Amino acid sequence: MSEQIINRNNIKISGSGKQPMLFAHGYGCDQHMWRYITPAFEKEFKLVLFDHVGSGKSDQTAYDFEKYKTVKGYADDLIEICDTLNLKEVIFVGHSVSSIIGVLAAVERPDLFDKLILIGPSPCYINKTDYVGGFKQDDIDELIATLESNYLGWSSYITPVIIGNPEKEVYAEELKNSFCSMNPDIAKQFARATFLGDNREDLFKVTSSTLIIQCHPDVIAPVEVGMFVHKAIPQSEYVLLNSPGHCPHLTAPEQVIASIEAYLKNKSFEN
Amino acid sequence: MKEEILKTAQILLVEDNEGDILLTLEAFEEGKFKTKVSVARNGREALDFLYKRAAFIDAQKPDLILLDINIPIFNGHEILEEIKKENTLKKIPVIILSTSSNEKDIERAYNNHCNSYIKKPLEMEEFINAVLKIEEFWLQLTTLAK
Amino acid sequence: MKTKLIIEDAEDLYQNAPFGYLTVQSDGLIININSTLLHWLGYERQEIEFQKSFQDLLIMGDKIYYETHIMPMLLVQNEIAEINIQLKGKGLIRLPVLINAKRIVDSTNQESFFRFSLLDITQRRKYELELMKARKEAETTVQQLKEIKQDLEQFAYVVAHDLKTPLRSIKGLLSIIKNKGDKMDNTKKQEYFNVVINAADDMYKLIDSLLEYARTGSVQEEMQEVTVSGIFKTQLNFFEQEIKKLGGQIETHSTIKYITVYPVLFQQVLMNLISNAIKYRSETPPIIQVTCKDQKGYTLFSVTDNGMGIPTDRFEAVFKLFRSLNPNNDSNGIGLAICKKIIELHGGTIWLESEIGKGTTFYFTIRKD
Repeated sequence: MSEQIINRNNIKISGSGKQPMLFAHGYGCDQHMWRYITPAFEKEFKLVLFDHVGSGKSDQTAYDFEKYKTVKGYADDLIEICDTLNLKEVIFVGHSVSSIIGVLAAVERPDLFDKLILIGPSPCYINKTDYVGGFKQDDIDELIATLESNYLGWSSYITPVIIGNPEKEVYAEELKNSFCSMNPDIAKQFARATFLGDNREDLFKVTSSTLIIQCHPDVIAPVEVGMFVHKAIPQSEYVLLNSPGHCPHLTAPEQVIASIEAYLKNKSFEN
Repeated sequence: MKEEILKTAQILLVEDNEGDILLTLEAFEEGKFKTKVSVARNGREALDFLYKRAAFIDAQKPDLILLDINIPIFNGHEILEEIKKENTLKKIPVIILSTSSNEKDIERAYNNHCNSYIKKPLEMEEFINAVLKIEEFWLQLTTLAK
Repeated sequence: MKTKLIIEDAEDLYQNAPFGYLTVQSDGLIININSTLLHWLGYERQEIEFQKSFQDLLIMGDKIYYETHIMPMLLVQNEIAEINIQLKGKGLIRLPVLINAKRIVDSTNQESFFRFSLLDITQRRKYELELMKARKEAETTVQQLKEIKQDLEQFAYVVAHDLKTPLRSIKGLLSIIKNKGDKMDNTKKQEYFNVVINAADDMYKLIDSLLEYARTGSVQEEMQEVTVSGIFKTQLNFFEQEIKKLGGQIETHSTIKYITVYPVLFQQVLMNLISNAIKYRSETPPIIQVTCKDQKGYTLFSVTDNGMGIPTDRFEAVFKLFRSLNPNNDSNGIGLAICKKIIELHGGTIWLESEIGKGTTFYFTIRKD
């Protein structure tokens, strides 16, 4: 069982600490996204990295179009990973859509999670009455149309050709463009699950202490959305980074590390 | 030879294909046992016979039942279910003799405790042979409940 | 010689290269763009440089793709190649491009910049769309061929199986008559001969149905506009007597006046469905309803009965050749397969809802155009 899940999600464990820090990558890429962040925490924590099913080097055959129709399917996987590895008091670090996956898991199993660190979270990408999601219904319709017409931007899918020792972490030429590649059908389904969901209600049910890390400007998850998440989650802190884009762990890793460290220290003082 | 098979064995054939009825009758005639074969041509006749109703008020309880699945009114599965549910009937061996090779039919028949499932052979000689083997197995080799 | 050198200077090579070039900051703000790309997009330089970010030129799908794929890849790998996206130009200009990009680090302040080169692939995109269309068509053809192959296998099966059943009776009974010769009394002989003749008739019927099914594909008649009421009237004339005799009734209802169909074939569908409703009736007298109404570009028909019902696991099988539910009940499992074929000729689909003991509704659509 445990081996099956470890293979399914391509789980990698490292670090010399005890308390687990679980990193969940966002839409489109894989666990390599965390490469600039993890070194800062490997001494004090047990680091658990994984790929969502359908991404990276996860078991593609485990991809179930029904299960992963909504992000709930990924939240179930997250809980399964914690249970299988017997992780407790988890510090969860999730990027983008994985923030919400973490929220769903923490609402269902608050016993598993100590803290949630959410980078660029958005519970709902579409504007609603009294809510700014960043995208108009037109944008979403356009997105769906693009997905349906199998627009080639989404399917510039190059099967990764990995030469040499697959155990060895290499970013050689042969891995070019493969780090973010995804089977187009899975990419479409993942996009639907990510961008069409509305999980605003779930935020209010979070009981774990939470840190929200927000970029500015972020066209995918704008500042208003980050503020909304902050207001909705009862025990939450909010950090606005001086960095644009949606992937601060790649563009401004030192700021992300500093925010997380400050947050974790603060918390341990409280304890 | 055992005493009980010296008496005439009562056989109920539930079948609606006239050709198959005649061939089965011929086969039993050819066989070495004394048999009396009664024919029910649809599900209702079969139940009437077993419960000694309507036209079959004088029917004798059969020692062996040959049952086709695709028959009018009540199909073979329903008849089998009824027989195996009914205390006075469930000891009677029921041999399904059907053209259906559908897995679901076979599965369902065994789930409902049919005593064996035989696919009707397409060739005439094999068909007669199958009936003779049924007769030999169930009337000679097997000891039936009284 | 001198003019050539001026034209080939670096600035001109950049501005007027047959390639689009632009440079962005890490937040996507465009700080440099070449004339070729400006021209392609229909913008003036001052509308773009330090005014728009690369993301502003993208539709939502590509925007997400940029933030979640292109940027992360550039930051991890420092370069990307052959990414296919579409740019929004001024007004309705849409430009499919293939982009390559490279990360450049300013040695004075370590700031990152990203240089993009963009290749116009409008022609290639058209070609790709055609390829995609062709591929889809090929897939449909393969699917059709698969179905034809299955049909053929069913044909083979029926020859091997369904025709052998009556043949077994014929050969079996005739052999018995021959072997017994004079030992057989005359009445019994007559009875056997009758069964043999009936079995031979069954074979004829089966062969006729097979031929009918095979012919259904090649339509001879013309599409015609006919009234629904006329169609229904024909059916009522044909069935009413029989249904009344059984103590039942048949009703028709339509909110549509005209349909365009192959009239003879279409009548055959209703005829098959209604006669099935009668054939597979329950203990109670048959009550049959036939309706017709509009449904988004299609006309929807339904035939509802209060008959025996069909088990859920047979819903699809009933439309397949020779999968009759009740082969001995004067049916050979071809009627519904023919209905399906005819409905598909009309650009529609056929399906059913049913509950054991309660009844069945067959639905089918035909395309309006």
